[in-house]
Amino acid sequence: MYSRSIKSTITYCEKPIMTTLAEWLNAHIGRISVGRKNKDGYEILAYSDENSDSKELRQYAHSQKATYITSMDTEGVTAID
Amino acid sequence: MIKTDIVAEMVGSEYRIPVDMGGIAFSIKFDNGAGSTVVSIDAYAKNLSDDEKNRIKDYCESHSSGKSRFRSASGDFFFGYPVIANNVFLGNTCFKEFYYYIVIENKRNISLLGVDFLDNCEYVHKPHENIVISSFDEISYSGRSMNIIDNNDLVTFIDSL
Repeated sequence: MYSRSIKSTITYCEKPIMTTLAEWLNAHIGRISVGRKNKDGYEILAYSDENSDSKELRQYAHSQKATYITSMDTEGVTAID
Repeated sequence: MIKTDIVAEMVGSEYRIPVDMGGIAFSIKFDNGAGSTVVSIDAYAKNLSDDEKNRIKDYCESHSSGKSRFRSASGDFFFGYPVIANNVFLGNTCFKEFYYYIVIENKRNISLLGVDFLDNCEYVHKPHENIVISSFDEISYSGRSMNIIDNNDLVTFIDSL
């Protein structure tokens, strides 16, 4: 369903994955992705589980006029004074 | 008051809200134990080098009136710089102004929606259900006068690294 370059750890989707931002973020903790917003939610264009792909994905998001999507820690409790 | 329909959904042991902010999207933790809304630099770019983080820190130092000192539950101290972002979506609700502190040095990548925002919200939580924010007092929330970093400029700077 998806193309995957041998040299890259980034998956560029042949067919965009339709989702909502909440669904995608909640289901893919730790993943960084690129998605294009539309009236129904987001079309995921590419994603990676490697933090080192962050810059490439940000540049891709910029070139596609899309959104760079990232997940944040959900473990533990951090309080701010 | 403006009507909102923001759902903080239970994920693991936390309530989280999706945020779309100027080409960056992530989820933020509903945290009424946090005094301030903070977002770590990891939301913008993961795997930044120390040199890149130092350059971002210098940028924030020179583009804001000051920084605030925070302490995490684990006892670590860290600094945050005030930022304003325009047209930020929390769920499906767009906020003309959204204020937060960008955190650069903290060891953990955190995103917390704190009391500075939640204090302006009317929200409902029923047992075993999500939290729903139904209205928001944008008048009391908006119009901070301090010298503050523009989110768009910050993103442009980070992209240039």
